[in-house]
Amino acid sequence: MFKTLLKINIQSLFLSMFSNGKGKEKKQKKKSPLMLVLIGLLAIYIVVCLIGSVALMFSPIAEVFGTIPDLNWLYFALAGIMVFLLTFVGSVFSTQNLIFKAKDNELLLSMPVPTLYILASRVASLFVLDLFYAAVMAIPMIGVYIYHHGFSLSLLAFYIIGILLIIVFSAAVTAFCGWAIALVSTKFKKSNTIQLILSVGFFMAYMVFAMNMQEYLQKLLTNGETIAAAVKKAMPVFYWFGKACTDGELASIVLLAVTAIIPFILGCMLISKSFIKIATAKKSANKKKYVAKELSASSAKVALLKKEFARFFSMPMYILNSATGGLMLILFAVIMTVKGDEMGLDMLFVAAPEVTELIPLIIAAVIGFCSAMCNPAASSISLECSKINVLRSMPINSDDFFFAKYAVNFTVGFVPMTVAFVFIAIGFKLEALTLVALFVSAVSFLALTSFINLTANLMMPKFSWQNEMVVIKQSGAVLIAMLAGIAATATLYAPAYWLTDYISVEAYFFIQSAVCIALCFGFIKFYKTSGKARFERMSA
Amino acid sequence: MLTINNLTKRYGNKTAVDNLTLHIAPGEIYGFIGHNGAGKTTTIKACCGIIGFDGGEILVDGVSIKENPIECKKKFAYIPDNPDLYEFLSGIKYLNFVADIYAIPKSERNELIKKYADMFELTDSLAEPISNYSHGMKQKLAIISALIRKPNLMILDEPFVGLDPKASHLLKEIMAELCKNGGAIFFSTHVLEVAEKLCTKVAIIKDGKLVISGDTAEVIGNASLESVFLELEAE
Repeated sequence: MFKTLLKINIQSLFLSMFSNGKGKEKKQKKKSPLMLVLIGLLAIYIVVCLIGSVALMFSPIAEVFGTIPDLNWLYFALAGIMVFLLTFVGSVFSTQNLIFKAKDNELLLSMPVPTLYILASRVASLFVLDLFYAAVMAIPMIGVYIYHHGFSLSLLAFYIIGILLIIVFSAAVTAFCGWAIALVSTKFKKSNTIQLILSVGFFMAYMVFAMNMQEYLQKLLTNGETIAAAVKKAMPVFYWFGKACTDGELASIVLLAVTAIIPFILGCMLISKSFIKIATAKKSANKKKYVAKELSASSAKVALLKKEFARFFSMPMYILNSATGGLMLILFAVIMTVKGDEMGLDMLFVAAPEVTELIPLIIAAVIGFCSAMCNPAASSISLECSKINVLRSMPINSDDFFFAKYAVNFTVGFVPMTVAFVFIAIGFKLEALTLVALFVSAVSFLALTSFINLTANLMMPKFSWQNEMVVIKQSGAVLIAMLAGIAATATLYAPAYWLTDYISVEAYFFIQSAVCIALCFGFIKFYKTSGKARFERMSA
Repeated sequence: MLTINNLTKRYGNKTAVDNLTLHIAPGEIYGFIGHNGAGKTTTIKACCGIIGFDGGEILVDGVSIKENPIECKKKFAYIPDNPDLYEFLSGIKYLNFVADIYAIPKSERNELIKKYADMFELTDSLAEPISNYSHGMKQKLAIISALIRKPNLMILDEPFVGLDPKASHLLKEIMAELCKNGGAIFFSTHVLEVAEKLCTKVAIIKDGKLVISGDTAEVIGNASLESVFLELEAE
């Protein structure tokens, strides 16, 4: 029974990633082999980039700490902390949706299935999800260590067992936090706002941590012993993990196992006690009585737009996942403005004018990358689910339908971009013309990526899902949109590095903007013809 | 008012609806009956322009749903079998959204919403998010959203599922009233007693093919609709 439940959960998470969910219609079409190869290549490219960057970052630490006998465990403790943080941040806000808000909760609760089984299968699928997050950090970190200090079977065995136990520990902590958030959500009317604030707070803290990573690693290299003592005292779990890896201490791995597995079991039991209550709770018992007032009237286009914004702001998960780029952009601009002098930007402007010429390009590429990460349109068609049938029965034309989804995507990118530009204007002291050209370039690129996101979802809609999280975080359309956005950033900004030898950076930005606008017109034509035809075939 | 001529819809090799012809005239309440998977919902979705079809023609007031879908969709209101509404909106916001889509004048919408919400005893809950509604409340809201459009034609898929007896009775009265005023209703149902009492005409579909259709009294003769249906199913 547990195996069946787990299979269904994992299927829902991964196997249906590229299913278009169009019911009987989907049998008629299969993905072309070329499309599958392209998807595969893009996915490999991203994985290699991620793993490569982690390897480069941790290589010097591995090299130094591996040679200090009393401190070599600290490198593995650091690996454990990184895996824990990544899996925790990656899944803490998915947990509530995955465990308590799954659409099949009531169906399963009506069956003779023990609650603990339902819960354990959900937590186990969370574990599987965490494995993917952990792999990004764990594989390169052991890779660089082996590269510098040689391979040993016991090291690898203890490392794998230890990482798995840390993921169990992380899953236990994550499930507990998800339970606490869900419990709070049932008590408050504005639980979405609370959840959003918490989510953004967590995310910002994580981004600040990630942006300062190099500084922390530097401190680690210079103050290794002090940090080691602190880790040993405050975070013994990671100390045991480090000792097990470097000294092959069986006792350490047993201690780690006990520390990870017992909270996991206790957590599952605790959550199972209130699972039914939370999973079936209706928000707030105090009903808000309707008081009639004059209703505002809008056009169909505006009504659809309002509905799209209402959906966006109703789901913290959606905001957090699809507006990541905006948050990153603001953070980047603020840090550069506030800490720019400290980081030597002023000195750079004076000392190396040839490097400073590249600064507008670097800013443009960062903005482009962040724009590509603003992708609510990549899942907004899929989020219609069965409601698409009702919309399709209404006198709504495809232009209005697509416009609403496009406009939300554009706005979600545009607002933080404008805020960031204020800081960029202050922090980077760019010339007025450069700033204007940069802004035009960024806005036109955002216009393009908004089309890319919407088109990815139009080509790969997924109307059958058990949980919004699957669509927002893991659907093929979102993955393709992100990869395509990154590819567009590289294609449209990388040539500037060479071309600015012949033309000014401002001229390049205007040319690049013209290319983006031309491509946008191409998309508009597509939405008037093929896009419209696809809309007319859309049904759940 | 609704003309279905030789409708054919295939899913791959399977023919879900096979050469179906039905004419629903003003003043008629047309019941559409069939076993699960017979092709009722497919026919209804095709009539509403939700899915395309492979053969035949569907006209609403003489306008082709294929050629002029937007114009057609302004003429009818559709209620799906499962009232899956936008749960992030409140009841009133959903109704206002529908009113915007159908360009219901500002002066009328308040009045219409009040009239039907009061009728279905949903007024007090209109400020609540739809996510807090029960299945029956969602069904009522879907019905209200259809009625505020003042449609001449209503296409309903299993409209009585989830309604309490009072709301169910009210809906039947509204359906009868609409037809008395020259409107028409085409709806699918499994509740044969309701179809027998309410419908002026019925059609029975089996494996995508129309088995029988016509005036309810003529179709059932001296028997009951249930016995006719079961007999046809057994053949």
